[in-house]
Amino acid sequence: MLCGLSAPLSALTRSYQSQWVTFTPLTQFMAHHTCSHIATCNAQSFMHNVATNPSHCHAVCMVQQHSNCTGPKLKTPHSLYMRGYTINHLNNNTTTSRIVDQIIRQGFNERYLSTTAGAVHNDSHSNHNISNGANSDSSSSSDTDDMSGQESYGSVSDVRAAVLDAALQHVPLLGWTEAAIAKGAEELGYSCAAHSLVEGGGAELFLWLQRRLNQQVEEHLEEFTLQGGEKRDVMLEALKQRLLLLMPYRAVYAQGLGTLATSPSLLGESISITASLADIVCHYSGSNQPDTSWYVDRASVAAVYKLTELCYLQDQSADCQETLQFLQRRVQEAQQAWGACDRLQAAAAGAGSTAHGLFLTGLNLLGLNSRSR
Amino acid sequence: MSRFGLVSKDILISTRPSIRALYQSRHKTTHFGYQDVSEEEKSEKVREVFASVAAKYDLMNDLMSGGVHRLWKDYFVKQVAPVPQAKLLDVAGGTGDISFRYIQRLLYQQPQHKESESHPSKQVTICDLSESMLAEGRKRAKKLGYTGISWVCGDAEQLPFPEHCFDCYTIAYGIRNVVHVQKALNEAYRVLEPGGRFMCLEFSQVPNPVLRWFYDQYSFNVIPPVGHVVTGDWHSYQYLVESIRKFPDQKTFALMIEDAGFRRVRYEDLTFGITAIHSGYKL
Repeated sequence: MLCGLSAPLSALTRSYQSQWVTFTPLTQFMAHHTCSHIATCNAQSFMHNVATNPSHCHAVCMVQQHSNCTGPKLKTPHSLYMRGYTINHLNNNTTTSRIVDQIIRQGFNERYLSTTAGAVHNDSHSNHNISNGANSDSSSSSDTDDMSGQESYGSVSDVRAAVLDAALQHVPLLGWTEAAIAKGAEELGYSCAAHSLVEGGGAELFLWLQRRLNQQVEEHLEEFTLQGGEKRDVMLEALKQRLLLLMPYRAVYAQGLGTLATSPSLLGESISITASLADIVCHYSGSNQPDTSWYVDRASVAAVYKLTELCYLQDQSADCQETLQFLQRRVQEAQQAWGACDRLQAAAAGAGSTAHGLFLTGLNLLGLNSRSR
Repeated sequence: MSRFGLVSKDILISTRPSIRALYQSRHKTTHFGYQDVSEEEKSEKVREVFASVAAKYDLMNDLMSGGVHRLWKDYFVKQVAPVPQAKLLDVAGGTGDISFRYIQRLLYQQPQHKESESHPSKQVTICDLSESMLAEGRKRAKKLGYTGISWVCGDAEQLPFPEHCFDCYTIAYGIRNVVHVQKALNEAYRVLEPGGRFMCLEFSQVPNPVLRWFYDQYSFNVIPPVGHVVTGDWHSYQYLVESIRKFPDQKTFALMIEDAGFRRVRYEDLTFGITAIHSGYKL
């Protein structure tokens, strides 16, 4: 029986090992947050679809492990597989790949945008969330009643998200402060004391804005792709849209960046948010190969965005034309660099055989090549 | 003979809890430190304790905790994160420690309100069971110039306020003196506005057994004698120390707060669990 099992198992491991990729904190972060929200029914229907295609048994293996995962035990190659590689390689089953894409994005958005950043902060005094005992923010499993007069929110996280969204409107006047959050809470009908739901205060509000704008950029790219936008135009379109969305907050943006400087963990959060923007842009640009180009592409998009953002903040020209031109030049350079990277890789692959050929030629010339005599 | 004795002891052990339960249900006893007293008596005794310690309350706090209680209270008010438009109810805050820090924090953020109509003290209400503690607090408030504070004498289990009238409810080192803690929590829920915050600063259990031993030695062998020397009152301080031990631990208390209806109940240990801050939202 074991012999009978060993052949398909070894086939599974072989195919799995052939797609091994190196560790990336981002995908682990995404995967951790995504997989805990994958709806069981969706995962099961996905498994059924994929199982009917025996050539995709390695994908089944990944999905099974994926849908069984309950926490941060998910290994990165699986997450990478689900996010990019599986979608590209399930050629015969476009419905499945769309389902997978939707599941991941839904889980990603739900988890990433509606919970606190790093749900429970462990500072020098240990902080305990009593309801679950775990590091999650869903403290509402038993609370389904809503307050009369308030819009009914399922969980405290939803209330917090609503308060943050309401607070964003007051930022241009009140800055990135607790006062803005308190005013947002009052607008929703809650007491101003609800501002302390947002532990980080103004800095957390700033990071929330970044996350919301990323989400809006992703929605915009979805539409752009559906309306037939070219993949090579995605980067320019996405970054333009992102800067456009920043416009109402331009005057107070520098202050927002200043609030991040109060704590190194906030800087880390900010970097991961930029990385997620880069990831979104690269995903829609079709850069999904699980090799070194994954990292190069995302790093270049992040760099382009950050440089353009700085330019945008100081732009005095009419309609920000300078920034637009700056962005176009940077995007061109980045895309040339991507092409150069691929060409380098191809050249490197050929370099070995070229060197061998040169060596043999040399031997032939010297008459030392006994094999071809 | 010994077997007979063992059997009778077994019977005694197995029946003792039920007898005690029967007694308690008839006479409604609760704990006052390590004594069992009836509920009416506890209320009276607590009042007496605080009447006697009121005058030297701050001095005793400093001596018992080595001045650390100030740091705890400062951190507590920092966690409360006051905003100018919030209405605070400070229960069992007779001498005004928490309220004054709250007002000072607001004045620091917005110094222009110091001499104006919208002085932060107008947003603060202090409620306490003990008139002598309130009198002490009034004296201190007058010295500091916080004239807008409302002083109310009332029981935490039956607050003399209508529902939905405060944004923030704080109780510092008071809830363990309440006879029915759950009732006080329910009252807190009642008087808070939707979205309001419940914050409690209270002595709690030290999880680490080694530290707990040192803490127990200090509590039982140092604090009452020092209290006797400084204020002439051994028993009040004995009560204070025993009541800390009888109060539920952090997790249990947090579950009680959840039972009252609060959400996102969290607790934070200070100084290895000697003090804990519990917080919940009415959402």
